Amino acid sequence: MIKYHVQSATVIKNEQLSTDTFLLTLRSGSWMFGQKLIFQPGQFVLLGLPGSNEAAFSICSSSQAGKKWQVAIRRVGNLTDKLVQLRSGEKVYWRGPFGHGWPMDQLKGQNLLLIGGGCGFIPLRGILQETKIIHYPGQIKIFYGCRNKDNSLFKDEYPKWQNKQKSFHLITEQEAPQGLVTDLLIKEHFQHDALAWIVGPPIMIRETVKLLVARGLTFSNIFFSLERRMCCGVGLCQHCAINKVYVCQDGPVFSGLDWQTNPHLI
Amino acid sequence: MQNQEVLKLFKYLLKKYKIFGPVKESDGVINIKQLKVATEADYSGKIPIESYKRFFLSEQESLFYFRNGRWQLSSQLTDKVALWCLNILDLQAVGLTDLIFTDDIYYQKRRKNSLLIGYSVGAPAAELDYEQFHMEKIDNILEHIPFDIFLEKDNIDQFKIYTGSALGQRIVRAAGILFSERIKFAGMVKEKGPDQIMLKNQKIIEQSLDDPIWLELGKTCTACGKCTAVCPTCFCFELKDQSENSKVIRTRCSSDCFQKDFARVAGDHNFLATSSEKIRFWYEHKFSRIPERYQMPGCVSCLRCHQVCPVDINIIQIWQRLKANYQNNHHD
Repeated sequence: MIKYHVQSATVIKNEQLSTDTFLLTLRSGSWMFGQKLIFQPGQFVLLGLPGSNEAAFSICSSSQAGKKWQVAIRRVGNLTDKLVQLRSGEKVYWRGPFGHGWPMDQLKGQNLLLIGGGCGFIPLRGILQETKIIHYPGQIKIFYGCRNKDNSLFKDEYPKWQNKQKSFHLITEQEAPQGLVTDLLIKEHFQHDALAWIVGPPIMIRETVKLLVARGLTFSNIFFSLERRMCCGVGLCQHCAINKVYVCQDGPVFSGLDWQTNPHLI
Repeated sequence: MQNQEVLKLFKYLLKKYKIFGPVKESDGVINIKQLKVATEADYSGKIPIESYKRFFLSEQESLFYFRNGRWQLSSQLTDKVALWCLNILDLQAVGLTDLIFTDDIYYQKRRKNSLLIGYSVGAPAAELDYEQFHMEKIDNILEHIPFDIFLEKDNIDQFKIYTGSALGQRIVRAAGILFSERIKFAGMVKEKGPDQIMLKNQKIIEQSLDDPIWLELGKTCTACGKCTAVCPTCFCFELKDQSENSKVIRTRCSSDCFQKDFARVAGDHNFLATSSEKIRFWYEHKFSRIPERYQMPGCVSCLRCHQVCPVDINIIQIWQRLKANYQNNHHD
């Protein structure tokens, strides 16, 4: 097994989502086997350009979309500077997918709370494109906290997330009504058997989990996705380790129960 | 060292391999150097300051390269090396990295080109130096370490020769050695299951998050990373692109968890920001993550980390304190 070998993908579209974040639509097709990317929602890829190394990005599109898939990239350094400037027809190189994704098999019609903070909202957007979610019989409540409205991602899609089945709640730190994503949750009603899937910075995850548990959710119904520095993606290089787990292999999605046995997760 | 059988073996190997082994320098330090004659090697049984990992895990390994719009597999030119007089603890470390890198073609190619000649001089003079502080004693140790040939010296300078692989047997025969005993490798984990002391220690480490020892060590440790350089089971790495002429080479470079950007992510958040977090992370690797995945300890008790530590951090003393603190907090 050649663990570090990459496949190529062609840029189909590059759209600007906010001041610093871009959405790349890619089509798989490689120099070797032409494999398409088969993934579970919540998994990630290592994406790179020759000479600029690789970094981990969550796939933020539906897992049923065949050879086309999307990643949202925030400009923060050398590699992302180059990635956001790619034009259609240009190539990127990827490997993966890695890790464990969201527990889709636990969706049984109960309330689903999708809670994202900042860039953490990116992986949640992919869930909303899944066929199982589009036809989900239960209520889906989406909570998104970010710095300001200019910075918020996927603005064009908000109307689609406001209907009988879904509700969308946005809160920003800089504009009225100012607040954090936890402020949204305090006001909201949801069933005690609701599932909560959370992505964001560790402090936001921690406070959100505490709040949800205080409001009656069980640890076993709470899941969160963690960010760490990823290098090998296969649980060897140690960069993403937390105590005895590797985020790249055992995560990035963990459950509230994992947090109970490993308090350093978040 | 005058044993004729051993001299015959060395001479035979010299024709086919570059031989490396422990050599005692004038200042008393034992380094691993290329050997031209068997008598150059140190046969005291003491552990060299450097580990043997560089022979299997290169500091910089070219994995593949990008040229003319294509990625291509790098060709690997590795010399055939014979590692002479590896001690049991270093063989345990090789056994562990064999498991960890079991499907890594780059590691396996180097490993395939290496011949392991183990060596034991019986019970060491300073037993504390080799104290298996975290493991139960293993009686049939040779069945649980990888080697091609093993030389066991007794106290009257007589050698007993064992073979641990088909290649080892062929070499011993071809070198004209008349008597050797075949040992069958039974895997790194003992037949009766994972080491009980290892499992207990794993539990201690995993419940030590609030142990004040980490904060205390964080004040002492300079995060120099010397312990990671000499540790035979430290293998952290990163993948980096390096430009050379008209090609970009994706390279696996050795790294260490004491480096300041080891766990830094975009947005500048650093998940291993303090020396205290780093040293605990190092211990978790050896005593929690490796046992969890491979059912064997990630530390072979070679004590090199203590030998090179500029601020005298002593792994034995740390373990004594971790165990004492655990017992004070858990009366089980």
